[in-house]
Amino acid sequence: MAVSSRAKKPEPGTSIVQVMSIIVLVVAAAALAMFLYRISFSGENLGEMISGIIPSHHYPLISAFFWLMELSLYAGLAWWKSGGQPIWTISGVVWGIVMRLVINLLVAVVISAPAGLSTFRTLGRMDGELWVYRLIGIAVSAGILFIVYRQWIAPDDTPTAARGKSAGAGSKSSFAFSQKKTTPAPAAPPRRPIMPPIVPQAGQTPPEGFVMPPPQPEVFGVATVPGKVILDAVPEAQAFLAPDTKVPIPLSLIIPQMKRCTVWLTWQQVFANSQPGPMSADEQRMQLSLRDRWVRIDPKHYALQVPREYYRRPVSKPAWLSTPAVPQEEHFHLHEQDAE
Amino acid sequence: MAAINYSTKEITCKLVYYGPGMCGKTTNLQFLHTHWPGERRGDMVSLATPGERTLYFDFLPLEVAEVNGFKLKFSLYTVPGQVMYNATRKLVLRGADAVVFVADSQWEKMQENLESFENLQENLATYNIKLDELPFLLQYNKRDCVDVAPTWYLDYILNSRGVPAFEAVAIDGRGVVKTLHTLCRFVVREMVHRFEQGTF
Repeated sequence: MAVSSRAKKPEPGTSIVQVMSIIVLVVAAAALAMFLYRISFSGENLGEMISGIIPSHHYPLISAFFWLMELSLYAGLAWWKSGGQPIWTISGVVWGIVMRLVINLLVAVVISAPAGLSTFRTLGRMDGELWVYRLIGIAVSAGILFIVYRQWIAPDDTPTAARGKSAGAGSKSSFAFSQKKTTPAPAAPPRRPIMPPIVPQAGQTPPEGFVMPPPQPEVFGVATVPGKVILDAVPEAQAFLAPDTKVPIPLSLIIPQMKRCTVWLTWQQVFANSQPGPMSADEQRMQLSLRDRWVRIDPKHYALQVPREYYRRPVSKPAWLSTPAVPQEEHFHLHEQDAE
Repeated sequence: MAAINYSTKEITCKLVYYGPGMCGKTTNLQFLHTHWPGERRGDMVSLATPGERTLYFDFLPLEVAEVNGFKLKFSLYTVPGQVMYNATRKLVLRGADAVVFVADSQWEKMQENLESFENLQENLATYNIKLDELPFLLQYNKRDCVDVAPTWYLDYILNSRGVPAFEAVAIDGRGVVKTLHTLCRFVVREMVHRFEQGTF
């Protein structure tokens, strides 16, 4: 069955990692902004050194370029992570700009206060000589947008792995026994991932990639299966099949599929050798329309009717099983008695 | 591979309880936690949903014995059995020294057992490990349920390697310690054998 493909669905309860990532991103950006402030943006010389990289008559061009870059960056990210949903793309652009403005406002407050400048004037200058702060704001907004959209809009398998890595689940370093005892269940129920519900396949179609093995012609005999098993898959057949009817199914069809636990047969295969009683024209027509429908037969219905000789399989013992016993094992006896 | 701390003279091995959802992996650890002598076990760490489904993994450190002057400790982990938690299962498997595959004996769970067993092999393969290379045992749990498959059928489905398989009722503790005990023996055998060969 599609274990691995379904397993790629995300796990709930990973928002802590997302929040932590956002905090790390903001702290890193704040550190960078502080560094820039220290080296060249203090006092009246605000922006002198780094702003000088670009001549002042190019500022309108730079501003236009930043707007273009900003819009396409947010739109591109949101489009990509939402799987091309227009509503999420537009939301991404709006949120990106709002976030960037908020970030830049905060930065303006922080850098204006020590120099005694107007916050809004500083904010306005971010379209000019303070362009570097605007660039940082764009990067942080894009980062937050990426993190949020990755988890909440179009999650994939990666955040889960990151979560596991951060907790050190598989690493030897986690043996330091420094974990907190977290036996009680979390107070809030885990957030459900946005994913389609898994609908159990109750006898409708075989798993993806199923290949019908050829029947074993040298095997004779039948296993009888309750009619209810057939009706679970083909409810329309109740017009002419009673739930308690014993439906004989040739072992030659069952045995080749036994290793897979569940046997899949078509209606036609199930009833190939049965002798139908008198049927109306309608019933015959319905029988014909059902011939390609799949029927799932669980091992419970046939396993005990198959002779045991068919369950013999060659055993290939792994090498570790034949490693000779060592004296150190003797220490374990005591503990077995301790616990049981 | 077991972690050796020469300063504290401790060897820590990682054992993973694997199996389909609701097969009794956590119950195994809970029984061991409540019945193992207090001074030789640590706290059990468990992150579960309100419905008692393992959300992340369970962890129980046990001190088992002293071997050649080293304290031998086993860290017991379970994986979340539900299909959608495969990334967590993969992570928990990393660095495992041995695996217990806990199968649910009920007929209706046979397909899930088989899928989980295949999933175990797939996840080990991502670390370039074959199941034949790793000590592992089978535990046929829930033997007290009404509609259970015979053990020979479970052997047919899961045990093509002829590894030891134990019947268990984890909720009552039947077979729980026996399973762990046997697995510990195999792990120590492997460890000592590797020490002697200089491949540890």
